[in-house]
Amino acid sequence: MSFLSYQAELRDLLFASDPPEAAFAALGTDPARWKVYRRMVRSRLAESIEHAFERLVGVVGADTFREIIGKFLADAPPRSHYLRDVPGEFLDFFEKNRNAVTRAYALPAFALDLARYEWAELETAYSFEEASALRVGPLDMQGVAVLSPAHRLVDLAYPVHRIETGGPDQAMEAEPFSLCLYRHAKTHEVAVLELTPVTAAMLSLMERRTMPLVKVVQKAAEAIGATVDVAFVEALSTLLADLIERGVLLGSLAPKESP
Amino acid sequence: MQVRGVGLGLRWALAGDILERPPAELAFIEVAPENYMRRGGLFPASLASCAERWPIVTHGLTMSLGGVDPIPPEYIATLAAFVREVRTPWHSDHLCFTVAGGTVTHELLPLPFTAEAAEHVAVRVMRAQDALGIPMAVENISYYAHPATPEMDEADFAAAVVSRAGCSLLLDVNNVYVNAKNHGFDPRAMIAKMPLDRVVQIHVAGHDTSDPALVLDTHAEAVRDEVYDLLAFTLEKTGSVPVLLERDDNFPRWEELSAEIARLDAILRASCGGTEKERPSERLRSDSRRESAP
Repeated sequence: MSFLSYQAELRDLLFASDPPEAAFAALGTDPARWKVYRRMVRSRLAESIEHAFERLVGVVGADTFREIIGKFLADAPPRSHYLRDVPGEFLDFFEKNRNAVTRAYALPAFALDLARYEWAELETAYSFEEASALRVGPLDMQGVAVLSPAHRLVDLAYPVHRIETGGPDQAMEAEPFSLCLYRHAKTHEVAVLELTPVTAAMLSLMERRTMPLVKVVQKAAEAIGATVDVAFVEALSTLLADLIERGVLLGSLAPKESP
Repeated sequence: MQVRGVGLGLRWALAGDILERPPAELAFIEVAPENYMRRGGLFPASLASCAERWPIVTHGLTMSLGGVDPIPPEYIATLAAFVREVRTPWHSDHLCFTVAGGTVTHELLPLPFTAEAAEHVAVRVMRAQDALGIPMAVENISYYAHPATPEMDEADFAAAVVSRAGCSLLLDVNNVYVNAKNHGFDPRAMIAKMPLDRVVQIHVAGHDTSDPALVLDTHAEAVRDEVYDLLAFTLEKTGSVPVLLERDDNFPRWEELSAEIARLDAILRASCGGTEKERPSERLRSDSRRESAP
């Protein structure tokens, strides 16, 4: 067995759904010990994924969830060098195979939303401070607003963010929500805001950093059919102050940085 | 800040105690860069607090030095920036492969002890050293099985890699002990045969003996007396080398971990008669670094 083929064969044994006994024996004199590697690899990856999706495991059940992980490992094994990315790779697999996975494992309709939400919480906690490289000044309606990189906007069809750890609710009614998850600058805790349609539209446009804040407000108001009157402007002022206080909105790009 | 004495691996579960009530003997901190690269929030904040007080050394997990897949340029560039930022004097990774056919296994998988594998690893270590801009050390792993028939033993394999690559050795004493138990050899004889003049750092950890058929290197138990003894034996031969306690799971009370650090420090001090002395490895490491330059 060549150096290259040994590595490929061992990889296949670690990730295949049901590798044949003979394949372990082909690697060396002690098949039981190669099975130890299979157990170690699979349990490390499974624990990493389960830790990220604790509420989903509670809803789906531990055994079923392990079966889905087994399918993921066989069909789309990890490619990132960072272990903390593996749950995100699992979510990608779930997204791409949502119908097949949901049917095969009889998952509730909100399962994918719950997975998206739980991963968004972790991504927000992990997000690195790329905005520190930008020159950010005080908020200016004529400038491009800058959001903290430690935030995620999530649109949900079900209110899965209200599920507590280990609280299954198979009969959850569909109810759309837009959320902003953000990380507190000092405590590093992740918090969640339920967004109104206009706020969701504004934050989504701010994320793109393609237009000044005044244009963001106009477009968001147009999108939901709102009139920009005195009451709207007062509410906007309160909203922007709140977002700044929470550390979600950092300010505006300095003129040199604006597109 | 020079790395010497006894260190501890920074783990999230330990960060609070490390910062709030560190044992007096704690002299440096080791981190796995993959846990901090491209990451914001609490983890890098804890690392920054540690870096203000102790020297940092880096110990990687997924470079896959024995793998066939190219090391991703993004990974190596991010790692290079990280090691510069924390000013580690060397970067270590394992004598193993973790990536195959694009799949990252997140496990330290065994390499065959062959001349072909040693040459392959050495070439990748040289490339990685050049990309990182700092010396590298390779660590002997715990291996539970060996593919086919080895051409040489583990010590000769490690010697072949470090000699060809001009790198240092991170000698994991616990791994030698675990391997000796699982493969039936004398751990002292294996240690004595290792390229001890290249040892730049030592690891110790606990292991699990609950399965009589196979000792597992878990980093989740207290360090055993046999490993402390093997450490003392090793230090007699290497001179004063930084010693790192690895504890990754099943965390005990902080007082117990602190006592382990104190015991390691006493062994380290006893091995060098209470004084620091120049080790051959430091001289050789800089010589070999010049030899490996293109």
